[in-house]
Amino acid sequence: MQIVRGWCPICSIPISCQSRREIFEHFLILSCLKSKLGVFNGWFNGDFAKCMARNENNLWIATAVTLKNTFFGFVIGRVVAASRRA
Amino acid sequence: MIARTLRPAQRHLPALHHRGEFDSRIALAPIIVLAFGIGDTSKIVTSWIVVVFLVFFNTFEGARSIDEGFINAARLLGASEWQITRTVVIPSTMAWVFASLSPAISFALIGVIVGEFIGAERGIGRLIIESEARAEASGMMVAVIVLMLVGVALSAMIWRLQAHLLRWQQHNMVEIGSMESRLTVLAMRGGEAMKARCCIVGGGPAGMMLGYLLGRAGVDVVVLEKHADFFRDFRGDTVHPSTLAGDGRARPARRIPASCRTSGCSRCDGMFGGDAGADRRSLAGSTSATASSPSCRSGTSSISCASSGKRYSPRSR
Repeated sequence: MQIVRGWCPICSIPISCQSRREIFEHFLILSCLKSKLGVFNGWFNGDFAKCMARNENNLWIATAVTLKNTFFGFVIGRVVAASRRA
Repeated sequence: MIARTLRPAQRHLPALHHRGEFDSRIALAPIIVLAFGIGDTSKIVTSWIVVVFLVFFNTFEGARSIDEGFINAARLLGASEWQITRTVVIPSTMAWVFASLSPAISFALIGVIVGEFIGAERGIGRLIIESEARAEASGMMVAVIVLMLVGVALSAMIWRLQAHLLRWQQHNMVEIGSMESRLTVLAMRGGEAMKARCCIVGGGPAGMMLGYLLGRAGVDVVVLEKHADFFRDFRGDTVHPSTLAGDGRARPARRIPASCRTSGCSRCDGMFGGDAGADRRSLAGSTSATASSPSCRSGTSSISCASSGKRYSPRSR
């Protein structure tokens, strides 16, 4: 039996130790590239689109939303600071 | 920039700024989420709260720390208040504003993530919280890694933007030194600007000769030189006769200001500022004079001047 050594940052707690493979698998699932059954979601058969529709907070949407909020917070913050100066 | 001109603001804002560093604005996030709901608005407001003070105080510091020498130099050259604002104040302040861009984008991201931790429908912060609730450490790691990549990408973008917009700083900086500052102060003391059609920065052989030729051609010219001495290590202190044979026009003046003939380097300011406004067209056209200015750094400093056939050998060091 092969023992997979976990990978984690030095300071993290033991429960967060995950193998790189496990993290990568989770990345594929969260980004709708793979189903939870381990099958790759096809682009043309619509599996990817279905996964995206089913999971409202998939990695793509989550990243896009965070980026959008960061951008607006940043821009509005700068604009308000500029208008205060003026 | 208006705040820069107000003395009470100059007195109190820095103290407020330092106090602001310690009070945790991010702690307002739960209240903001309560007020604006768990939608995107609350994240934008949290991010805004974190960013706005950082940018405002950085800009204020930038406007406050403009070198008065730049402003005085611009005023000396006859610039209006608007021209000073446009060409000195704004570019100097922009360096500070852009310096705050990189931390501002990082703080904005932190504000959004904290807002998403507290309550959100979507977002990377929400992903982390969901993974944590399900004890899925790998999900958390994925979200954290993506978040790191997003942060690095945003910072890289800002760095590129900053390098592009502030490229003038690296190549076109002209240092205003002590002599220019002194001239500026002297000129400003009377409350009037020294006006000139042409301003030459640097009183080396080329600068002085150009100033001389322009002056003889009737052009109002000012030569700015930062060094207060004529140390020969870096200054061409003697004009070789073969140089004069060049085209018959480039010859040193027969009349060198009286202040230069007396000992003491500090009295030689007249070479630069004292005769400003004089009509140099009356200077001699043909002369065999050689003027040499021995080093002023070795104690018995004096500028030796010779004209009309007399020739002075530079004092050997």
